[in-house]
Amino acid sequence: MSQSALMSPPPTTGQVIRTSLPDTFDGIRYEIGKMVNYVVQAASDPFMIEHTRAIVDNYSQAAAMSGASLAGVDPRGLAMEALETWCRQHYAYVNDPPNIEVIQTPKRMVKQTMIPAEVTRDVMAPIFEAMTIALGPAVAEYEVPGLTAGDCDEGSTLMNAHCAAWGNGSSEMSAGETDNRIRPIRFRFGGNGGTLHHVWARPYLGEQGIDSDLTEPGYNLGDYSKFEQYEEVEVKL
Amino acid sequence: MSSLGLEKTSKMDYDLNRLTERVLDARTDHIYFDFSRVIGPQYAKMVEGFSTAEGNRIAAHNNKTLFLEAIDLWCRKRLGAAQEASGGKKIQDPRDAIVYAMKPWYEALELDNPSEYKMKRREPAPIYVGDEADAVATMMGLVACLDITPMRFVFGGRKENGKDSYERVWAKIKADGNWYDSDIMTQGVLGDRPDFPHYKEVEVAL
Repeated sequence: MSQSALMSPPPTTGQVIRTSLPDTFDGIRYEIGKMVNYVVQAASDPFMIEHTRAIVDNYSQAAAMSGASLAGVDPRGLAMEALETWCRQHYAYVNDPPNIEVIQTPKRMVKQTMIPAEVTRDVMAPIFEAMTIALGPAVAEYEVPGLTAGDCDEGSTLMNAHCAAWGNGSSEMSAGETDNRIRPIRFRFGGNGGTLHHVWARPYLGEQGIDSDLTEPGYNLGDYSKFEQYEEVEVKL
Repeated sequence: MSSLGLEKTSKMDYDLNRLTERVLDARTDHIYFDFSRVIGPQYAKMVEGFSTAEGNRIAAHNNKTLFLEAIDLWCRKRLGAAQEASGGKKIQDPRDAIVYAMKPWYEALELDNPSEYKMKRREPAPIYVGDEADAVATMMGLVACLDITPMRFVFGGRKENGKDSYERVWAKIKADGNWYDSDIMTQGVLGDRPDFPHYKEVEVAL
């Protein structure tokens, strides 16, 4: 497997890249490489930078309007909370097809959440018709959420891409100024019996890693599943 | 004799190879894949919302039974027995029904800001007039995209003079620990099983 394939740019809109992966640890390494690469690309993507800025700004404003005091709050912690909340509201966990590894770019996933409700209704028209017969006119009032779906690779890449992009593109820092970006950003892998079979995001606030596992609906920031082994892979930004 | 217990030249044996390929091909077809990921989770969210409002919450999270129900329901009404005369063009390939459904979704995704997409007036949904078994295999392929497995073809028929004779094929799929018959080519709902004196089930190796 060539290094150029691993570090090739992410697929553009409408592009699908198919790659045969060996059924060995090389295949897993390739997948991890893709996840890391997609986060790196997202970090400098103006679309992702603007998207994350808007999420955090809206979250901060909502918090301020609700009377919460943000004085003394680490802006990186607040941003991480805002970004995770957004991801949880818009990401649905699904498995990949058997023996097929699929990974979408975070940008594609975000764009899916922006697809107008009337489009989703049109795709699902037969289902809405059946639901209307079963439940009545309330179905017409139903607010279709903006969703994207993916497995744990995609969920962790989505969250890490958000953290990597937030705060990027702002003016250059002067010497001695604190970097207010969320760094470092790592993927954390967990598994049992000598294998790693689950992955989640682990962005850091300085020295402190904050686990974020979107695939677990009841988890808060900092929660993670118990495994026999853990490994972390840092995204070089 | 084949592994099905049928003579190699029998129609159903020929169909099984082709049908299995159709299921396997669907797993790597990005249109099937995106479509499943749209309608499964969206339907599950909708059920969660309405069931919560009724005080009997059904969780959407990776609820494969609801994902399966969404695909079964959609396929019944666009490929199967619950199709309505829409005036749409007739199609032979079930994939064309999915391509039609996803066209605005992909058009929106092409935009820098998909929220700015405006739906255009559309032709009526196409009417599927192709092979019933192909529709069944397509439905199974969509289900496989969400890793709802294992899955089987079920052949319904009778034994005549010691030989199997099959008249119908439908799907049987395991979701969240329970097996469901899915016969989109007859009126009914997920879980209904057609009545035949003899059945044969063949698992699809995914």
